Amino acid sequence: MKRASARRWLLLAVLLFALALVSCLLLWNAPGGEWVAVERDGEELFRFRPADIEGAQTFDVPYAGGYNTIAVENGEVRVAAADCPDQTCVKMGALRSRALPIVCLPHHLTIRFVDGAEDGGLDAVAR
Amino acid sequence: MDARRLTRLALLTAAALSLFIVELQLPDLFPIPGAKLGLANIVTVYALYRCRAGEAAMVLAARILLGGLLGGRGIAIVYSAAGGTACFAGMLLLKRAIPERHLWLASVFGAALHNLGQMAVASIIAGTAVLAYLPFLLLAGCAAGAFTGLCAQLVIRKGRFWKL
Repeated sequence: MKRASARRWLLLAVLLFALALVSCLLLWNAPGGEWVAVERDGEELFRFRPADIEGAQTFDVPYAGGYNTIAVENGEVRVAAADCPDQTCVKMGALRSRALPIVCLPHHLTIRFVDGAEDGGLDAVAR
Repeated sequence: MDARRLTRLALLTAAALSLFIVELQLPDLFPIPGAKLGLANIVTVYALYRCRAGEAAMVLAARILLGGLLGGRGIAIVYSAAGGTACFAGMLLLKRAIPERHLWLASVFGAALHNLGQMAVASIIAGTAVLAYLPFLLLAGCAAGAFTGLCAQLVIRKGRFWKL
């Protein structure tokens, strides 16, 4: 009885692991998008189209005395530098999937693919 | 509480804090927000199975608070507390279902609950977009939970030998 119960829990653990693995693969392979939105606390700061940006460009997103430097090059978007303590956003590399935003938890920042253009845009940041 | 128990709890807390600080020095294994090995949870799991529930809770709370102060990552303490509470509550129940010799299995579920707690808080603070990382966090969490659980099992076995 004891052994059977332990096996049931093991099965559940394996199931959980498999489910997580499958979702990871699905998320990882989701397609990208045309527009990229930069959001803080779930609210959009601005959005831009990486294809519109020629050559390599970087811009800073300030946060309470800190910053995240977003780099756009060849249509690829990534966080080039940040003064957050964990540097996870930098290590995550380029934005590649619609389902997987680049996240900087310490600065409450998310960068993700979105549908279509709305107000805002890179011009708003430049000003 | 007699001095013997108190000393034991203090020792456990000190061990947990040491592991926590050591882990801060290691480079991050996975570039996933919130993922880490959680070495200090070796002590949490050990205390859960070896001490009274209230005592294990005190060790965990002391480690999270002091670790947050010493680690100095500010907001991390909120994630840590949310995850720790979810993990602790869940494992308290799991302890009845899963015997000590399968402790590592209970630890895997504890880690998964920790991840769920963390993610719940993260989605409130940083927006629901971060939820996409839950599966990645769970994968890392399962592996880390199995590892810390096995370590705790080893500690219990050796502890029996040293009559701890």
